[in-house]
Formats: sequence, structure tokens, C-alpha cells
Amino acid sequence: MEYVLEVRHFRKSYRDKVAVRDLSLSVAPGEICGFIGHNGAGKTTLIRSVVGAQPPTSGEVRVCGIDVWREPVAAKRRMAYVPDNPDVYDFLTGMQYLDLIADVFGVGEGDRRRRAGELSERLELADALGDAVSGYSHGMRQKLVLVGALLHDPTLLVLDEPFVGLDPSASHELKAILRERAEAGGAVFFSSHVLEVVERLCDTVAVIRRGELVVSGPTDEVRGSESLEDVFLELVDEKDGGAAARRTR
Amino acid sequence: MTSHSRGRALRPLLSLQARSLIYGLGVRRGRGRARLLGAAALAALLVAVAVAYLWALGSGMVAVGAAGAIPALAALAGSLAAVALVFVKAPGTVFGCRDYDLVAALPVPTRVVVVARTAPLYGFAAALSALMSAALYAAYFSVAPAGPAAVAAAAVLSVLAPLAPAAAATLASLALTSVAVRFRHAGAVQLALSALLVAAVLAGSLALGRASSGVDDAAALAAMGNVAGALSAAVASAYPPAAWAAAAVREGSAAGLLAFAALSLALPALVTLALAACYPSVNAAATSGPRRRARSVATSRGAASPLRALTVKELRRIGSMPFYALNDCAGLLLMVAASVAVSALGVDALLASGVVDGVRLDAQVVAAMRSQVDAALPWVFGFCGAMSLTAGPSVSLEASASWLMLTAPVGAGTVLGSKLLANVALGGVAAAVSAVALLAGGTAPLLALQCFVSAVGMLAGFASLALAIDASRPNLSWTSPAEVVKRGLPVMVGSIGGVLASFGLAFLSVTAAGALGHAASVAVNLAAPAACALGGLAALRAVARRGLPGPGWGE
Repeated sequence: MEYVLEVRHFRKSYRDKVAVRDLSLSVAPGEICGFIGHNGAGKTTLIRSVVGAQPPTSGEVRVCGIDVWREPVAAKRRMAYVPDNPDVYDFLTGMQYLDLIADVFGVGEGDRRRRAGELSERLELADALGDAVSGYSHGMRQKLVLVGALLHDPTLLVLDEPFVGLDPSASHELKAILRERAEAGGAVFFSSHVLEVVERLCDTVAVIRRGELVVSGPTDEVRGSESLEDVFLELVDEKDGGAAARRTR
Repeated sequence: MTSHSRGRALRPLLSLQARSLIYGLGVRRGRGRARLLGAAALAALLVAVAVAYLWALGSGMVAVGAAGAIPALAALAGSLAAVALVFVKAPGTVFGCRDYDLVAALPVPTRVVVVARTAPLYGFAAALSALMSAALYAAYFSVAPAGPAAVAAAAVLSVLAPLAPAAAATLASLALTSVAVRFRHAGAVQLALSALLVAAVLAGSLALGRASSGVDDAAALAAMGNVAGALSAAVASAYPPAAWAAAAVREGSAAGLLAFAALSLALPALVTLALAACYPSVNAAATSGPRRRARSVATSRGAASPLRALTVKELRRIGSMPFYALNDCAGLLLMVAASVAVSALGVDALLASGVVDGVRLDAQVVAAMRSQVDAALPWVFGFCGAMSLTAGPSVSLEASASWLMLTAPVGAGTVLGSKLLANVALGGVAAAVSAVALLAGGTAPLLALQCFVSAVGMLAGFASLALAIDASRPNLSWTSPAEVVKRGLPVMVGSIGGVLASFGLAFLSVTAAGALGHAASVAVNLAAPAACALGGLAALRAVARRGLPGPGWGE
């Protein structure tokens, strides 16, 4: 089977500090994968390398079979990224930003208008698209980046803490959108500290601790009879990582 | 809260301001001390130049018998410096601050927060005024009786002079910022007004030069004396406190000194109290966005290529940041102004007037230097092009939005190319307008072509070089755009290198014209800018091949 996202023996170090060591995981078509870990565990480091924003020290990242660091442009065409801090160009209006993203991703005029219209209506952003981004709240920027990320119909959607700053209705709508992406054959890989959401939404889950993957697999298997929160707390509290059942794929 | 505890609260807030300044100069975790020393050395050099200039101005006024106008002028000079400083720094420091929520939530009286923000500004203004006034008063006391009372009054007035204008400027800056943030095209208007101001200064300078040309030195000195007298009267009537200051120093007027001191201390205190009383609404007024404008998705524009879309984005950034545009497009404004001046007045008349280089040349001498003048003229445009590098800080200006370009499905060449293209488009328009103006004024087509090639070639070459440096080591964590637009290494290397290269190549062209003839200088003027552009593009291409750097890149 060709995975939508495949990470092999990923390692990233900053000078002497190893942020992530020998991490391998994969996300299949139709899957939503939740990536969880404590602050500073290495989630954002891995995510930034997956989306081509930061090169790994060693290892390989493939999206739809394309090596992100050998064929970056082809790989980036197939995915979209929503960062944890949705900073975009303040000097543009929301619509100008969406036009820019559509042009860069080569989305045609009709498609961009239709998708931007549908998505901005769903996320209740349509009325603000004529306003300058500088006047947007954090949540509005998050919605704008989400609309921009979905404009080119990506196969892989990578999100870093996507629910932070969203109002309840937008958060509900985002969950529905992520599920629709997966059902349409795409894949979603996102990090979150909201374990209840991960537990309910994700088909698979991966837990990282101090730069090492301690467990990954179907959510039901990782959780067992306990809640994901209990499992997570047990895993990250363990001094000896070897005790954790490693179900890496 | 007692005054003691207020003082305890003020100290950490002032320390925070000092740390913010040091961080803004690029000092990070013990690194960047060389940059700090460099900034201090540059500041010392600028102060030395300003002091020398004011000393020369004061001495000139003494020489023409206008020493009496110096005390008023000193008060005015310090005040103007303070007004300029406050206008630039108050937005973002006193109001509209990024950390407003943080400081507003501290268990500290609002007055203390406001004082912590205004005190460093006013203190810096006072220091600046003292330095500027010292040079003027030194010239004044070289002819006026330097009694202890007069010297003490001068010292006190030098420090107090900027306080009242700075306080008034704080309110004016707040009013302007509050209007500007609501007006969608405030940046463009500010840019246009600044361009008009530059044009007015140039036109005034030319008019002054033309008015005094052909007059002998004695008559020129007498005219300057009249101007100084008129200036003194104008200063006193436009800004009465300057007259109080003058009376305190010249005539030992205690009333004048007290009135000036009272105004200088009371107005800042009143402004601080007023700001503290309505600080939340002041910040809200200075940070709210432009008025909403209904624009539906249906008005989305047609599709464009990634390069075109990114170039338009760069041009929008330049248009939306007057500070960036003014710093990096000033050379283009000068280029157009120079071409219009050459077209309207002629090179010979400009050189003969002494406006350009301060040396008034005889018309016959200028005519005898015709071939050298023609060889050097294109480098005036090359100089202007080389100091107009909007591309220089453009990678760093991506800052926290850099993830967009790092994750976009386009090569680094397209991203960097769009930044260069925006710069070259602006420079190309300015160079084309200049060439047309030169042709309209009767300049020979070959010379106009050399001017165009020199401007575009130097701009393209040094913009590429600066962009390559910025793309190699961008500063994405700046706290103020001035860090990358004015003090960034790429802009410094690009513009200083470009300016030095322009001077060097102008010298080479003039030498070639003298030694080998006109054709040699034409060859230099056409080939050197092209070589410069190709060299810069090669450097940029090498960097583009490595890809775009971001946080964590290469570590």
C-alpha cells in the first residue's frame, strides 16, 4: 500500500541538542492521525520537516511516495499546512491572501471562487474576506489559513494545534471537514493537546516523548480499555520508555 | 500605592524598555556585542557630524552678526529633534504597543506604565537637545558674555527645550496614528506626502542656489545675516517659548527662564496624566484596523502565475509599509528629481550654481569639462539605483509568515525572483521616467541610454547581492522593521557596496574618457552595470539553488 505520509528514521538535531531521534511512522489514505506529546517533545519539529519548512538531519519524509526533500515542489503540491501560529501577511486582505495562495498552488479561477466561497461560509469568514488581515483575531487568521490550505484540494493535510483559537462552531465544522477529507481518500496528520478530540476524531494516534516515538497505531488499540488521556499520562510519565508497548508501523 | 512602591514598579518597566532596545539592536544571549559596539560607534559618528555642523552653523551666524538669534534657534533645534523622534517612536512605544495586554494586566498603576514608556523617549530627546544646543551655545558664548547665570540658564534650557514639544508631539502622533489606522491607504498617502517633501526640499535648495549664484561673498554673507535675523523673528513669533529662552540667556530674564521651565515640566506631566486616564481607549484607538469594506468572494481576481502573484504581493508589502518604501525607494525619488533638474536646468547650469557639490564653478570651466561630465553623469543614476534595494531585507520581512514561502510549491528561485522582480520593476519605471525626462530636456539619446543602463544595472546587481545575503542568513525574529530595513547586514552591504562601486566606476569612466576618449567611457558605462547585474544574479542563483532558509535551517 502506498502511504500518503511516510516518515522513515527521521532525526533532527540543533547543534548538540537532538530534538527528534530515529522516528518512523506512516499515515494511510482515509486516515486521520493524531500526533500527541508534551510541550517540547518534538511535534512541531517533525511537522515542519514533513511540510518542507525545515530539513531533517537524517532520514526520509515521503508524501504520496514523493520525497519531500528531493522533490519539494511536487510533494508540496499534494499537501497543505496549517501552522500553530497562523501568521500571514498583514498587508493583504483575506481575499487577496486567498488569491495569492490559489495562484501559487495553481488553482483555476472557477475552482478558487467556488471553494473559497464554500469554505469561508462554513467557517463563517465570508463577511470578513474584504478586510485587511491586520484586523483579524487569532481565530479569524486560523480560519483564513484553513480556507487557504483547502483551496487546492490537498491529499495530505498537516495541521499543528488546529483547534487553538477556534470558536465552538468553527471547531465543530473543522472536525467535519477533516472527516470529509479522510472519507474522500485523503489523509490528515495533526498535533493536538486536546486529547478528547484526538480520541474521538482520529483513526490512528502517535505519541512522542522527548523526541522518541513511544507508541503509534489505531486509536482503539493504543487506548485499550482506558481513556487516551490516562494512556498518554502513563506513557509520558514513564522513566523507562522500554516498558511501553511499541506498536510502530 | 506609595511613591516608594511606585518607584519599585517603575524600575523593572524601565529595565524592560532598555532590554527591548538592546534586543532590537541584535544582541541575543550574549551574541551581537560587535553589532552593539558598531551601532554605538555609528551613533557617536552621527552625533559628531551633527555637532560639527551645528558648530559651523553657529559660527556662521556669529560671523554675520546674528549671534543674538542663536539661543532661540537652539531651543527650536532641540524641539524639532524631539518632535521628529517622538513622531517616529511613540506609535509602538507609548501607544499601540504589542505588549499592551501584558503591561495592562500588571499590578502597577497605569500612570507608572505610561511614565515607563514616555520617560525614555523624553530622556533621549533631552540628551539629543543638550548635544545639539551645546555646539550652538559654544559658538554663541564665543562672542557673548559667558556669565555663570547665562551659562547655567543655557544648560537648563538645553535640557528642558524638547520636553514640551515632545509632549505635544505625543498627542499629535496619537491623533495621526488613530486616523491612519482607520484609513486603508494611509501608507500610500504618507509615501506621496514624503515624496512631495523631498521634492520641495530639492526645489528649495535649487532655488536658493540659483538666487545666490553670481553674487559675491560679501553680499552672500549680508544676505545670510538678513535671513538669520528674519529667522530669529519668525522663530520667536511661531514658538513664543523660544523667545522666553532667548530672553533668559541673553538678558538674564528670570521670568523667561521660569516660564520656559514651567511649560516644559507641566506639559509632559499633563500629557502623561491624560494618557494614563484613558490608556485603554488610547491603545484601542491606535490599534484598530481600517473600516470594513464589503467585498464578496465573487470579486476574486483572475488566476495569475506564481511569479506574478508573488511579485504583486511584494509590491503590496512595499506600498503598505511607508517606512520600508521611504528607506528603500528614496534613491528612485532622487533619480527622478535629478533627471527633472537636469532636464529643466541643464547639467552645466546645475554644476555652475554650486548646488550639487557646494563648489560654484565658472561656466567656462564646466564647458571645458564636458567629456568628463558626460562620462560621470550616468553614475549619478547608478548611485541612485544602487541605494534603492527593496529586495535587500525582503526575506527577513517575511518574519513569522515565512512558513508560507517555505511550504509553497514553488522553487526558491521563484520566491527570490519575485522579490528581485518587484525591486527591478520599481527601479525600471523610475529609470525609464528619468530617461524620458532627460531626452525631453535635450540630453543625447546615447547618454540617456547610459543613464538608464547604469541605474537598472546597478540596482539589479546590488539588489541581487543584498537579497542573496538576506536569503542566506535572514533575520526572521526582528522586533522592529528598522532592524532589517535600516540596520540589516544585507541592506548595509548592498547599498554601501553599490554606492562605493558607483563612485569607483564613475572615476574609471572619467579616467577612461580622459585617457582613451569618449568611446571608452561609453563602453565602461554600458558594460560595467551589465557586469554588475550579472555578478549579482550569479550570487543570487547560487543561493536559490540551496533553497530557502527558515528557522532551524542548517543547524
